[in-house]
Amino acid sequence: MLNNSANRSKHSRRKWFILLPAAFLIGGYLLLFVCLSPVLDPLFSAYKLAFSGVNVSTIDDTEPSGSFSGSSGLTHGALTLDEFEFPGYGETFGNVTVEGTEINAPVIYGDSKKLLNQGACMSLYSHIPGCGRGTMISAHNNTFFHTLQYVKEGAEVRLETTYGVYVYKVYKTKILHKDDAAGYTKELNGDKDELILYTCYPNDTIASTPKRFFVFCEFVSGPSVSMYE
Amino acid sequence: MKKMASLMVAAVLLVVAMVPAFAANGINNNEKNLIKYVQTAYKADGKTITVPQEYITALENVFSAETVDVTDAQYAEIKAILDEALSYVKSKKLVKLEDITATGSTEDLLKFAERALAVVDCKLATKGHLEDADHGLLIITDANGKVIAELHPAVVVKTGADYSSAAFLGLASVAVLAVAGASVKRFRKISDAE
Repeated sequence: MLNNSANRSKHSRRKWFILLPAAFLIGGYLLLFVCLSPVLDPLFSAYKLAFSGVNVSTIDDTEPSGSFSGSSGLTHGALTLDEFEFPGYGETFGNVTVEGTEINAPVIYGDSKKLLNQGACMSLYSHIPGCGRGTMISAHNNTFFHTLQYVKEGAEVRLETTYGVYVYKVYKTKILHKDDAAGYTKELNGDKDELILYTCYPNDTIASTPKRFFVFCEFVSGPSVSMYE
Repeated sequence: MKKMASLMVAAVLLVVAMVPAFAANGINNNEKNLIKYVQTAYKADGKTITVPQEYITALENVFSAETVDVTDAQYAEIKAILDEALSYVKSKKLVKLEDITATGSTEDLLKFAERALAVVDCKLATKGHLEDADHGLLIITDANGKVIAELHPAVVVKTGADYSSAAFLGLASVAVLAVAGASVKRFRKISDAE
């Protein structure tokens, strides 16, 4: 009886001699992968470049260029093409603040993954402020737009750009599925100046979420600009 | 629905036309005509093919952003490539965006775009798979290698919490330590029993 129990114990220990190294091996590899991912990612990119024939200089995401140099302070009027500089891709061309929240973020032209780590980002699928169309700006919900969900209707949104100062007022908020284009298309593609801010919803989820918290803001003031000659 | 049935070649007409125009002084007449070409609704097998407005906006942005005006000669060359691209789209019956993937036309369409870009010394690169709207990326660079535009197919991007490698490193460490802790406890129990 005692022998049986000792045998069982030995057998159980043997089992652990197999399971533990396996667990440590997997855990170790996981650890190594995470530690080395900043090194491995460029290597994978280099591998892809070597076999896809694309240009090396084009494959990396753009880093945002510089910090916001300040606004012209212009609050009204009309700017012709000669009177302002259209932002370049990745350029920090503005700063946004939202009343009633802690949002005070640089605004970057473009919204790639890398740019989103550096500030609030304007989508190239929207127009720059002042064009008489929709402007769409997004940011991460754990950094620059962490407090966006606390915004109240009527709150003032101030968007300072290199070429002028724009003031908007929040008139509605919506939670939409990311693919629910009907929820924002009218505002984005309409023929009046409108600012749309959004971030992932709900906050503080580690896994990616398909929902977005949208804030729609009507135009109050700011200079108009033209993209056409 | 017509509009839905008409999501055309965002990857083609859009990119092909987007390619080349970098107006020093905004969008010039040649660029305006290219935009008009892309905006036009075409008929293929009784279905309407149009480019969604968001892509037209992206096109306008690219045309506004840089330092080269599309000349008349360049316009003619690009227009010819657009005509070819449109014929291709019609022949393959690419009415919806999904049709591009379904017919394996992505590479061919990107080649049209590359040709059009080359007219103005620009290049096109992709990152990830364009079928993956969230992660696929289209990168356009000018003759100096400067990025003019990066576009995910998805209009609404991922803005969830961005946890750094450090956070995951911590998580992985905790996992390994937990395994170690559990194993030590287990061995102690076995030793105590003996």
